[in-house]
Amino acid sequence: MDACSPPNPDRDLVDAVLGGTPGAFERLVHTYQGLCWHIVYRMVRDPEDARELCQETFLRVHQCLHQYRQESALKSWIAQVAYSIALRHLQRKRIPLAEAETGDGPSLLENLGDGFDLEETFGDAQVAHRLHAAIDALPPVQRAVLTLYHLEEASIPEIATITGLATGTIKSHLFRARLRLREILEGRLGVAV
Amino acid sequence: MNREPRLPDTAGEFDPLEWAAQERALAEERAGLPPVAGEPRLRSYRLMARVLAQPPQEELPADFAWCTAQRAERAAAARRSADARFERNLQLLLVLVFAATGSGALMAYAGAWLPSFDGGAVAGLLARPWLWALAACLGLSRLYDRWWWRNLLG
Repeated sequence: MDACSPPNPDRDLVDAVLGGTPGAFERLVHTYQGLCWHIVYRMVRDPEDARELCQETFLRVHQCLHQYRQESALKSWIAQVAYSIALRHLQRKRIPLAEAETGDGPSLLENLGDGFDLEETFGDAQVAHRLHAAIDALPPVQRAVLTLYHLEEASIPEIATITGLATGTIKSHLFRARLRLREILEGRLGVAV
Repeated sequence: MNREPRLPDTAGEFDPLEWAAQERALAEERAGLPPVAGEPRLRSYRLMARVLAQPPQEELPADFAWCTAQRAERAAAARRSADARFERNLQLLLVLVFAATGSGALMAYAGAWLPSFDGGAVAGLLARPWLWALAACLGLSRLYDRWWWRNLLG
């Protein structure tokens, strides 16, 4: 490696795994298992299935690592594999991935006002409980986008790389999901929690 | 249930002000700024950002990385073994095809060129000891190769 080039931990780790360095792949899994778990678990929701799919993700990563061209961060590449494996699992189970575009639903913005104070209405624990239930009620793709944006702090272009969705679609998913969560939180949609 | 009359779905329409509120709440929550009084919408979005930034309570087992690495290594070894088996089978197939076409050619054309062979010359060639030594070397090498592969694959 050129002495002047900045250190690249991704490349070092990939080289170590491809070179068969003992413990290198375990280190890679350890580094990215949280990311993989967050994506897969939030999409699939079943812990047993999510664990199996996470393992499948890393087996695929191990098998295809030589194809990684370092055009994107290793994190994005692994997240892409996790996302597509979770997506395929949901498709096999015939679970709808995104909300249906229906014309008969009420306008979320129409239903929301500015005077509703969540903390005054519910306690903290109740808010969190209500919110978790509301997140679970979202379609899997919106849950994945929200997780990547809020929990993994991925940027919208990074999410586009991971999910293969257009940036406009991602913004729309984020916007609609958060609006829906606000609506559910404020109790206007009558979702049982 | 007391509901407002249903309006056409405009949820898909992007509202820049609402988006700005969502993004502002997220930025303020990440920066750990104190909540601004009198902005309930922002407070809702900040609560949302806080909950969304929390990892799931359910976690992967502590030995997940180790187990996965072991499983990957076993899978890679199985793939290598399958590749080697495929290569050997392919090699065998090629040899058989070569032998079959060779035999076919021999049967088809031997009648034309075999009588021109000098029997004495062939017998003289077979009488040379170095030819037998060469054949023995090739045979031994082949046998050792088979034995080595058998040991490698268990």
